[in-house]
Amino acid sequence: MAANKHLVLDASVILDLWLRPERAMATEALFASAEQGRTSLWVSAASLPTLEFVAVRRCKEQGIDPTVARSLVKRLMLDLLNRVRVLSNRGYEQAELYAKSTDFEDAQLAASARSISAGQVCIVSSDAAFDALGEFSFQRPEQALEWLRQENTSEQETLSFIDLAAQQVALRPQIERNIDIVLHHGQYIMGPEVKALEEKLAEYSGAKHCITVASGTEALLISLMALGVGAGDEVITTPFTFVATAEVIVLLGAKPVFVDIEPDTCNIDASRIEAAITPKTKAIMPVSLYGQPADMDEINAIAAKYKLPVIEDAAQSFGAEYKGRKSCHLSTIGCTSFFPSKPLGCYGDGGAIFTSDDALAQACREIRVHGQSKRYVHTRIGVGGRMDTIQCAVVLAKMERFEWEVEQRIAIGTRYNAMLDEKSTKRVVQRGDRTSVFAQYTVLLENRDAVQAKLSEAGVPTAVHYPLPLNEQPAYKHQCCPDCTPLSREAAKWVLSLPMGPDLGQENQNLIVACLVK
Amino acid sequence: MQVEAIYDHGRLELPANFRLKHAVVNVLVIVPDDEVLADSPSGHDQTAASLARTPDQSPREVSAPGGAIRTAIDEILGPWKQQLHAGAALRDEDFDRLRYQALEEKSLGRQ
Repeated sequence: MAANKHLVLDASVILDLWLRPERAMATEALFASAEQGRTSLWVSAASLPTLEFVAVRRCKEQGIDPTVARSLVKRLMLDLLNRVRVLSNRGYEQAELYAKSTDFEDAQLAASARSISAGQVCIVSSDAAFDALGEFSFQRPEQALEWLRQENTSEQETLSFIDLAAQQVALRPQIERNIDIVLHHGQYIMGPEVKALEEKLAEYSGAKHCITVASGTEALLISLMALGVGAGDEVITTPFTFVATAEVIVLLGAKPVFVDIEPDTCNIDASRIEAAITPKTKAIMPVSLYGQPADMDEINAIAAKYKLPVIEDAAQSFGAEYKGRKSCHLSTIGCTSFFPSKPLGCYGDGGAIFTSDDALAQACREIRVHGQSKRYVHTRIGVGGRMDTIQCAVVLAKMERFEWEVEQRIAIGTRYNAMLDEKSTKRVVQRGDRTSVFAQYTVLLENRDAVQAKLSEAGVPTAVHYPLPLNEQPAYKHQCCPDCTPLSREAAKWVLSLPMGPDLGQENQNLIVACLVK
Repeated sequence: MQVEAIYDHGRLELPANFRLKHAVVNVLVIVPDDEVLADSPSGHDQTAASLARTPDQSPREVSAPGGAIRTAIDEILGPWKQQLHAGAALRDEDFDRLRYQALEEKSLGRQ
């Protein structure tokens, strides 16, 4: 778990560290705590020139040659910047800050600390007073050290279903940097970040091609269009999924053929697929529900027998593995979503298509841009389905932490499993030959609604994914008899997703499980 | 002052009753030339702290609380450390004076 106590160091603290070591023991201990992952250290960009000027001045005052003084301080600054993260100061708020502050430099530091939108924030200063704008606590290094030692009391108050704020704090400098680069070059559509992300994602997944698109839904739609699915065709899929899976099939005039799920994984039951194949079947579309791939070997074998393509709806499973291969690289096409709450999310809508088939990749690229093979030459019907450059820039920043997040998700999911198994609580099962990235951590409860209400009272947010199978939804129920998929119907009554994410702490996890099993 | 230390598999052992104020301190070590392997870095400017690290330890991995940052600062300052910290200890008002002088110097372009 990332540290959720954040210390913003004032220039006075750093200057003590460099120039008054006899007064910096506590500050040294704060740095040691940061190295052990118990806190995050920040400085405000507004403090940096002061640090440099004062340190150089002191060196010269002590008789050190000016050239040597500047060289020494430069090395001290670079070492510091390698150990702390830097908070930005925003031009648009300077006038207001100046007007309301009693100490402008202090106020700038405090304002920059507003970027830390998760966890607890404390400003550390050696000064006797500090203008923290009334928004943050201010402590001396010794007090801050004691504060770090105190048990965390805020975690419970800030329990969220998916803690995107903690992730943002952890990646704030990278996200700001990447967004600023886009604002600077101004290529908002198909800018260099689009290609950079596609290359990075293709490499990560192992697929030959990655085509970023406007959303996970668009990824499915474009994939079906590239495969030539149209009116009168059938596509086999699961009814126990988000509506987009079936929606895109119906949009193209095709028919979703719903196959029931396995009761333990809630993924499509591969053993039932072959019976659903007809001469009209054009594709099979399994969903890697909750972050765990379905039985892809079995599904691919059936598809090969009938010469059908397989589209993995991997909206929830990017980062998961199936027999050593990455989700999205398990079949003809893989589609994922970068919806903000997904394991790899952007700050809006986004998605990606993965394939190792050159012709399909080319088709997807053209369909993404209105079927355009070259400028204003439309060789096929397409859509406006590009992913914005700025969203690609956000995902690129998030990729810097993604592998760690996947490890965390697996560790936290495994811990949930152990705790719930001990209490004999029924849960979605993960198979041993694959991993889940736990986009959702889901339990199966016969008294689901009562438990959900109880958890809500205790401040534990939950969600139901999904309350109705698609073949019982008003817009889709004519596509398939509701009674054809009884296991999906049953799961829809029982599933309850618990808070989950890479930054979910053990204390909160203990609390959630305690409330659940009480 | 000089004390005798024993080099033992990458670590320096000082006499058992010898205690220092800080957990990590730069010391200079005189190593017999005939003990130095040919591919070792030039020894005379290496601090004892950096020599005492095992090969897989970066400076950040020194385990003494607060030690890594202090060691890094001391290494950067090197021989100028004594000079920088010589004389009377800096008082808070000295910091204020330094700050104004530094800004004045910068603003007036005399740096």
